[in-house]
Amino acid sequence: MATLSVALTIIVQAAMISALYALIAIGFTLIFGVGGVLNLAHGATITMGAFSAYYAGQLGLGIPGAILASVAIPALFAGLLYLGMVKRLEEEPIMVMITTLVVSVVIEQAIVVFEGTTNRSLPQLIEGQFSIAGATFQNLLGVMFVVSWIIIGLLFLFVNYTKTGKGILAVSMSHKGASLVGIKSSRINLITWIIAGAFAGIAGLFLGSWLTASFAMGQAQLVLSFSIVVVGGIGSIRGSVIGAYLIGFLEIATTNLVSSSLQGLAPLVVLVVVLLVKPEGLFGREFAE
Amino acid sequence: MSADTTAEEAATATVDDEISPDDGILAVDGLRKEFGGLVAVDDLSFAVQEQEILGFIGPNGAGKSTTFNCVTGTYPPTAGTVWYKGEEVTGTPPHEMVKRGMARTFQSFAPLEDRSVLKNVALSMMNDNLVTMDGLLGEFHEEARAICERVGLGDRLHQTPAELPHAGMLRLELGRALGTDPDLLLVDEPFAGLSGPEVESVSDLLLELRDEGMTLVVVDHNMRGLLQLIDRAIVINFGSLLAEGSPDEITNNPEVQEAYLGGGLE
Amino acid sequence: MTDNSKSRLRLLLGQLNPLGLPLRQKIGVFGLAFLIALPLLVSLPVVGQFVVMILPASSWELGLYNVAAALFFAMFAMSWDAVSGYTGEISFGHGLFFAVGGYTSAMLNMGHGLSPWVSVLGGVLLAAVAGVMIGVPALRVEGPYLSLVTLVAPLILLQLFIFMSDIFGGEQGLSNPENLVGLGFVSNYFLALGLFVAVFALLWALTRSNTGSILTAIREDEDAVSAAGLSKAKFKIFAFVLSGAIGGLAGAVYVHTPVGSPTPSELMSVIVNVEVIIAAVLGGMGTIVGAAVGGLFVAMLPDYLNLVEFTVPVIGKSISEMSFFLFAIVTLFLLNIFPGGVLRWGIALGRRATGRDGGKEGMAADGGQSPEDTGTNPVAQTMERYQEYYDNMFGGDDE
Repeated sequence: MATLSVALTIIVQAAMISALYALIAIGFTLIFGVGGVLNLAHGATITMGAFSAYYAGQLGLGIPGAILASVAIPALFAGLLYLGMVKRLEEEPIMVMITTLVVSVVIEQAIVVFEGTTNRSLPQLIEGQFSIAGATFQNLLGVMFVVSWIIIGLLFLFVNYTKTGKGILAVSMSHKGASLVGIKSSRINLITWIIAGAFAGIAGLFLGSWLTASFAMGQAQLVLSFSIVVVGGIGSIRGSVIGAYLIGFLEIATTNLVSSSLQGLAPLVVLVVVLLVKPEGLFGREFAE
Repeated sequence: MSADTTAEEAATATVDDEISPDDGILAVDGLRKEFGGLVAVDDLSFAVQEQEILGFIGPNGAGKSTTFNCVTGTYPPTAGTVWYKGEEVTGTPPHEMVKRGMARTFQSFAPLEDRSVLKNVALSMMNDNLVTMDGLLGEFHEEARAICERVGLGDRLHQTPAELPHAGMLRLELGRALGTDPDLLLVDEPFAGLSGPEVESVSDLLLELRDEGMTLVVVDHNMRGLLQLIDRAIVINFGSLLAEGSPDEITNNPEVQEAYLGGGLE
Repeated sequence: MTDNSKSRLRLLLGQLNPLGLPLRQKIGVFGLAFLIALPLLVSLPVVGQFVVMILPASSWELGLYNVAAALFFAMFAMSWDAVSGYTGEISFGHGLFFAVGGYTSAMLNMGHGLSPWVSVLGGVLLAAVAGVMIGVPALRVEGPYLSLVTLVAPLILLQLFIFMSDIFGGEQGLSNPENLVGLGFVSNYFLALGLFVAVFALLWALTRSNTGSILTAIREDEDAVSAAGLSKAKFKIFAFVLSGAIGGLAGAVYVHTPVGSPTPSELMSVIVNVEVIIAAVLGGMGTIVGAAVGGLFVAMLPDYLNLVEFTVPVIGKSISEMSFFLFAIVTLFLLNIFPGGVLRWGIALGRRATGRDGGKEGMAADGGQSPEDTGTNPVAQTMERYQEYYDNMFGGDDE
């Protein structure tokens, strides 16, 4: 009976948290798929979302304010980052990686300066718990799950049925081809970055609410996103979702069943193995220079 | 021994399908390359005689580049054997082939954009040694300079590839290939985009090289500059051998004429 | 030695005559001389005070200490440049080699009682092996994918460390191993400086020779390298092994001085991976010299900032508290202004200032030869001198 309950806890927890991982990974993979660059500030964007919500709470703006802040500020930041720095460096993915890496350090260090290294609690979004077959889970997790999937669903509709969304798919497949049919890739890139920023912000809100907010919270997420995106395939939304569930389950299972000090190791090992054996992942394309 | 006799002997030698390693400096037997379901090269067999200039002709998509990529080691063939100087070299990586004496130019011109013409050629002359005192004192520059002058880039030694005109890029390709001191040179579509006088000038250079002992294989889909230059030709289409023989023979070959949209070949 | 190589060596040494060097190299030699004379300078009466003021410390001992630490970091940055600046395979986890070198050496020394010198050798060897383990995947994966592998490798190592913390000492690290040259500030300073000079000389010679041209050619177009009859796999792995070995050497010697100890915060910090990239990129990728200068700068800037007691008005924090943050912002700023690195900018500026403008700025990445070898810029002059000597010695004939 105990094992069943443990297994159930693991499965449900993994199922719910993976939705969030998927949201984060999708943003990351879109930027790579569309722009061909690795945005190493993606993790810091998550942190930004969490702290935006925290400050909104401090300023007395309540839950709605926190939600709004956690979405708007990172989205704005991402857009500015693209326009201000990345766009100029589009031909040099290496410089983009280095620049975004330094930007992430700036953000994290700014938080260290103003908030120190202690964890901060965010305004509680939802209280209470619910139970499935005897195992209890926080309502927050459930909300996280539902909201993430709603967003993923909306994104799916957006990408497949709206003009801009299809533009994103087009650019992600071929820059030249897309520009030949009149799609302006810089506009598409900007939209992609904003979307990715918004997703990261929401994820930051949830993660900060569920755990706590700290300056380094984005780092582990960034690494996790690498694994997910590589396994799922660069540029593939579907791949990110499936990859998120694979990695999510693997991670939760490892930390619960084997040892909690192995946190983060399993996704890393998977990442390296996939990179060596099948770099395109499940649904991705070969990275072509 | 005149070039004509060599060509005749070559034409008769390769009538029978069996290619043996000694049939020439380069011998290819049953070469086959498949990409997934697509058969790019279909059981191709031929041999290249020493010191001949062989033309490798075919319309676009005929499999010429694929054949040579297999031969030069860019990728291994799906099946078939390649012999170079009597030794089997199927699937040997490109840099090994270069060391053995087979060099090639690239149709798409891939020079190093970050350095001058002179240094591009100098790279070809470097040894495959990891740690070396070579180069600290600017060695090779004298020899590289000589090659640049040979290919007609003597006055452009210190320009970067970006500053070269189209013909200059081709000459640079030749210079880079020559820098490796090859015995067999594969020239990939050299005459595309060249004016009449430039075609002549390049042809003269290739003839000179042959007279000095080099074997040349010139790939092209366009007969224009090629026919006066070559001793013998191999025509392929859809990955397999269509015709073989002297320039006159293939010009008058009805199948070849048909492959080029039924009619004259000029 | 054959006659040929004897005279080439003589020629090479002749070229090292400081008086005949181009301006930027003169500056470098001067800087080196300054570093060598530093311990002497700080002990002089008046000059000593002045020099200590320049150093990022409140006392001369601490000053030497900080400079020594900076020298280790500069070595490490040079090792990064040797692979990433040259072949273009960007290593985002170079700290791996530093850590492997440091921990291996510490454990060999303390756990197995080997002398520090032998332990250092062991550290270097294992770090070189780590270089192979990164280099081999580098053959299969390209660009950002490779960078991901390099990013992830030290993270995996860190996880293993934490998991097996009973062996590796966990968060606290291991206790200090034996020192190579005792505890003296001056002797350790010279150890660091000597190693720095040796590493610099080795890498400089390597990258200015054909090997450097080949490595940059790999970055530019790998197919061209194969077409030139050179095995790109061999050179790529070589770059990683060399880079790993030197990084490991820096780490190994580091833990055997009072300046460093085998703890995760010093050897395995995530930040050091970023810092070494910043150092080499700011200084100028693909020049070795840039990495050395950038490394010294990056290592000492936080020390300088820490000395500043000024408190920023609105925010209410002192500069020293914000040092790392400011460092990151300054870096971002500099990256945007000098994408090619400060070194290249400085050289171009110097050329313009001294009126010797060859027309095009920017060094070719194998270190010092611009495409325009005509005219009177110092690089061209050096080249032509080489050519003359070479011609004179060998009568201008081939072979």
